[in-house]
Amino acid sequence: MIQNGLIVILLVGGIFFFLVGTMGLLRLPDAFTRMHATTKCDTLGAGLVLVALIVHQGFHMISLKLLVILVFIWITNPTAAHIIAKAAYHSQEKPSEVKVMGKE
Amino acid sequence: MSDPSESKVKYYGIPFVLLFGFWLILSPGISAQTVFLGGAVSLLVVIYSKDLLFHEDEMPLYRLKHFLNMMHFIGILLVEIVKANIDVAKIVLNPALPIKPQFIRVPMMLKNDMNKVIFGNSVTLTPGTLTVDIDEDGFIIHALTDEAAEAMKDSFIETWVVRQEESE
Repeated sequence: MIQNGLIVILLVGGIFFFLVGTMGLLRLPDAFTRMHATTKCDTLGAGLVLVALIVHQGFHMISLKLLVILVFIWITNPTAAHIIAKAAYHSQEKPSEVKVMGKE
Repeated sequence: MSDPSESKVKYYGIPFVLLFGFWLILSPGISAQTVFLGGAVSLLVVIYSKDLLFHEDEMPLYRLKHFLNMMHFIGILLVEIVKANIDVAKIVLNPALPIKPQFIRVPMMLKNDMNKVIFGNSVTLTPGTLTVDIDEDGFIIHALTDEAAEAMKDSFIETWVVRQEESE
């Protein structure tokens, strides 16, 4: 009962973040801002759905495999986002002023 | 520096253990056949790719202290990822779409390639920031809002990665 409730909450959360990611992709103006929406919402969307599947399986070998999928998604997702953003950055004019942030 | 034989054990041993562990997780069940085959294949892969493997000084995570630090960092990062998603969700769902896209530069403070990867990917995962490019001078980061840009000024990721690099 508790397990099922938890699964439903996680799945709904995951679907919510996928929905937000898709809406962001449609609403935001350019490539970079769209990357923000899709990378962020895909990580947590896919993450929550996979965690829901892990909870459903319980303590099992399959849970371990799902965890491996989760880890690889979370490593590859920002890396792919970085490559797409880099391509977009180099195919346009360089921004004239770039604010410097960071520790002095 | 530790003695050469020990670093050799790490150089070949850790990739082997990782490959073998990965094989065991993916295999349908643990039997004599899967263990023997997996061990043999992992060993072959490690031997064939021996020029491609990481040296200990290239790969800070090969040291136990750094690995444990990393686990702690991932714990903090998970909380930040959840916050990142909620922040971006709020912005996307807001009818006014309150964004102010901008590029910012964080000066380079890292020498180790692995630490650069950790920094870049962690920045991409945290609220409203996206690593766009890395050059000799620093990281070019795209920020979705002013707050996200301000947050890069003194971020916990930078503090952590710099500390990690200093403790070499």
